[in-house]
Amino acid sequence: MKTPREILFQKHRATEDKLNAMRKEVLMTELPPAEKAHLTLFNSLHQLWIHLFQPSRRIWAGLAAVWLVILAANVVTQEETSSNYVSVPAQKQGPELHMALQEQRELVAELIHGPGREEADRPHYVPRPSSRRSPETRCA
Amino acid sequence: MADQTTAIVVKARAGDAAAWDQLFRRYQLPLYSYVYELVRHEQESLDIVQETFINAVRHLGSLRDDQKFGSWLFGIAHQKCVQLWRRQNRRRLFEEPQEEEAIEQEASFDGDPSELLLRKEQEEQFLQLLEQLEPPHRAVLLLHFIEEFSLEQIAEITGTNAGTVKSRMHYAKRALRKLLEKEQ
Repeated sequence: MKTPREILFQKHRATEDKLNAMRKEVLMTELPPAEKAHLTLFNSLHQLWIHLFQPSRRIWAGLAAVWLVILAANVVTQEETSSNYVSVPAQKQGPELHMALQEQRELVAELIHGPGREEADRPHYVPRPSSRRSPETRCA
Repeated sequence: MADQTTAIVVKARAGDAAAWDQLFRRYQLPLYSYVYELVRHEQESLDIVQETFINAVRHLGSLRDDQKFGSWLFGIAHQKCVQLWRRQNRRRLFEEPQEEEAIEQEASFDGDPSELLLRKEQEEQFLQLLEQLEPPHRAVLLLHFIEEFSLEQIAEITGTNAGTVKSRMHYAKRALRKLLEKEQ
């Protein structure tokens, strides 16, 4: 024996698949887009964090620290370079200007190539052929 | 059950998709059963249920009492059925019946719907009885049996007053009683 409610539900149970599809469609289209976008973005970032960053947190932290040091050094260097350019007065002419420009060149070269550039600028000793090995004595 | 639904409605207000899914799962079959028995067309019934769900999502803010979510949802569906009838020029079907019997002495809205049991051979006749009833009486009987709504809730859903609901329920149950007595 069944209640009227059960009889009615039994009669319409066959339509449940269509009702399920309709329900899902309504939820997909009617939830606020911002809510869905927020959830999607959040889920993506969360997945990225779990799979990429969390297993190697120390390595990523070390890399970040190195990049910070490089960035800071770059900023300091740029400040020094720009300050050097600014400190050269435009009114200086003649030898003083030439010396200032020379100093700047040396400084830039040092930054680019590192310290010890003066040695590189010095002429290297090029060994010359030995006088004992003159063509006349070689043949002998 | 009502407390559980209320808690889910609270989450749905916050935009919780899982909560909305729970609510729709809970009401989709009862709602469809009600609408179909009024409209008698599968595709139109599905469309009405879909539009009801869409309205619920868009206008949940207009619901003041979370405990009344079920009756609120059925009220939306009922209005859409009436609109469909108007479009189909079937408005006369939902007007007040010609004869309304006095119910002062016999007014009986008592009886637990879940206690009424029908034998298998009575099931088909019950469904035929529903088909034969005028839509106003049919709607009241359906709301009474499907969701066990109270007199006041049915009045809100159908946009009438408690006295009218009592009258229609009396007429419908009398017909049902005749059916059951006939089989015995």
